[in-house]
Amino acid sequence: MSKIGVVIPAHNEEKSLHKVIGEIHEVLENYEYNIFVVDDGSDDDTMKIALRNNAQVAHHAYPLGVGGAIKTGFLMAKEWNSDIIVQIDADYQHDPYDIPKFLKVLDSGEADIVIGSRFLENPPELNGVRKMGIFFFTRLVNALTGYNLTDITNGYRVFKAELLDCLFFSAEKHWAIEMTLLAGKKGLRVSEVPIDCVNRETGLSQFFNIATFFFYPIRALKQIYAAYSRGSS
Amino acid sequence: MFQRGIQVVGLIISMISFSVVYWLRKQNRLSGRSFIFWVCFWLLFVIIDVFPSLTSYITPYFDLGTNMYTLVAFSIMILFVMVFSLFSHIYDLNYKVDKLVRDQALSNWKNSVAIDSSRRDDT
Repeated sequence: MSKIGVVIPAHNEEKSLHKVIGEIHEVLENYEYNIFVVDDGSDDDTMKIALRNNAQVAHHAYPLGVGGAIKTGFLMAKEWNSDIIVQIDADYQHDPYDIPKFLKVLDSGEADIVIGSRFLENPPELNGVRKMGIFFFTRLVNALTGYNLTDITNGYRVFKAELLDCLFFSAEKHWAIEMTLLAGKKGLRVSEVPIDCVNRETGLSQFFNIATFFFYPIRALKQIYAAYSRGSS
Repeated sequence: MFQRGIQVVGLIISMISFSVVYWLRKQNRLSGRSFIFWVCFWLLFVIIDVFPSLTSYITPYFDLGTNMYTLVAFSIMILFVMVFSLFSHIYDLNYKVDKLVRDQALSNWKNSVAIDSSRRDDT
């Protein structure tokens, strides 16, 4: 049976984390799995909640950003010799009950990486600028890789752990673009599955920070450069 | 009159900078090389501030017209170099901090896993 490593980056998510972890335990009860929570410099009880819910926890003394937390989580999953890596948000915007849908596509051998898409069914209400940014970068990455994706910035992803080395991005923030470009560069097969994205009930989005919002396009372009300037190994 | 005023302001700035450089060195927060660089930099600043006509020796070589243009052009170039070196220094520090934070987090996690498994073995 495949070993599934679930990576959850979390920053001040004490209110939603127990629900996310609890549902993952329910969904994966018939699998061999481990949950790796990376507490990215939280000021609240995120770490305690994760430990109380039987997750493995690494604590960043200083927040490195979502990309930085995911990288740490990947290294934990690799250390545990995971066969499959599931990456999911801690704010309950991603429904853990969708995990079997991802695993089914991966098991069928149709894809090496499966990404959740908010736009295949029931597109969510997003503000205009954010929607425009997602649309622009999705089109750009599609043009560069030849993929036909609809939601490039989505953080709900499942992939084979053996691909981790070639998908290991350099970004500490806005990593999704670089990771997908690296997949395209390696000629990996990427599929999407429709997901419903629930609006966050608690905590703050990374886009709440005006500087993050403003610098997003610049950092995203930097990630495109990083993906293409990396050696072919 | 206006030039005199600017010169006085320049002298005050350089005196404050000298004391800051000296204080940093005394606190061991500035390396010997950096200390010499900043002392030379501010000495040059004081010399040009007190004797601005000295720049007239180099002005013709750069086709910059007046002494003031030469000073402004060199100041901007120095600022660019300083901003670039600061940027690369911050980038490097950022990388090191990220690595340190991640390594520490992973090492603590591995230790806790090892402790847990040894407890399980004991029981």
